[in-house]
Amino acid sequence: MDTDTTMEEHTRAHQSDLSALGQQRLPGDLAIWVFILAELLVFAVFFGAYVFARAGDVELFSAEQAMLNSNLGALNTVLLVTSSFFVVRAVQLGEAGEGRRAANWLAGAIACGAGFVVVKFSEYVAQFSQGISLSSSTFHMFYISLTFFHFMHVLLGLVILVALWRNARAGLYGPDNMNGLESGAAYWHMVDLVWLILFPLVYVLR
Amino acid sequence: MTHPTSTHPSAHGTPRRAFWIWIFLLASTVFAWAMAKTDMGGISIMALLMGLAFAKGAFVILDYMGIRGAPTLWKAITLGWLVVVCLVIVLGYLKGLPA
Repeated sequence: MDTDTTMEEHTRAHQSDLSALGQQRLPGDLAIWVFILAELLVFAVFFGAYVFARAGDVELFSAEQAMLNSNLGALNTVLLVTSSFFVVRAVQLGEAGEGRRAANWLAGAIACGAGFVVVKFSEYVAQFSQGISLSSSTFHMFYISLTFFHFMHVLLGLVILVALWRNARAGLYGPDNMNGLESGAAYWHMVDLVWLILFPLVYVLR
Repeated sequence: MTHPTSTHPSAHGTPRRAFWIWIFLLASTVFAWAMAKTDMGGISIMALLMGLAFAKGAFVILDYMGIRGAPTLWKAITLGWLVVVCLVIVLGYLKGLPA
């Protein structure tokens, strides 16, 4: 806790310095942000297509949406936002010069991400065993393609987190070497951000 | 100077702020889950859900992704994406309401 308080002071002092200097900076590599924007645009098109397809047949979408397991959807939201919190803590520790401690938080984030994969996979197994497929209905076509596309991003994000964890354990990150950690973290937060829209849209909106 | 000397600008806020944002994200997830469990719908619930989704997204973009400290263009692009997505969802929802 003392370390956290000291870090809080460090961060505040550092931000105050930056503010005084008027510095603005995109965290991480420009290339990852271009990639993130491309992904966000694709998801935006998916969301728009879903909601306007829903407008054409609200009864069907509502009936089939009611068959989804909102407990698992909410659990997965908790897992993703928690992993995002763990990742931001890892980045903050890297900035404060405690790169090796960041590895512990990254391990927590990986565990949460793996939890998401297990929960989502079990949801798919239950649905597919009921005979649900892409061609079952317009709703399921959107549900499966949208969530599976996101699922693939979670898997890629996990691979990135494992690489960050290994680097953090090796002591590679510090105040002057944050580019890799910030780039990977930004990708993982993008995965979380998309789910924060997907969950209310697909599981909750009546 | 009591903090580590660095040329690397900090953009991710304080641990305390990150913690409270996490609590907000969890609380609003519980709210959305409760709406799903009670099968509540309608314009007001939709507005509340999308308002919360926007707030959650903005916190993730500005604080967790660290865009708060980024150049204005990047703030505009990322928050603009969030605004457009939320507006499209609201418009699509309204289009689906009975005439």
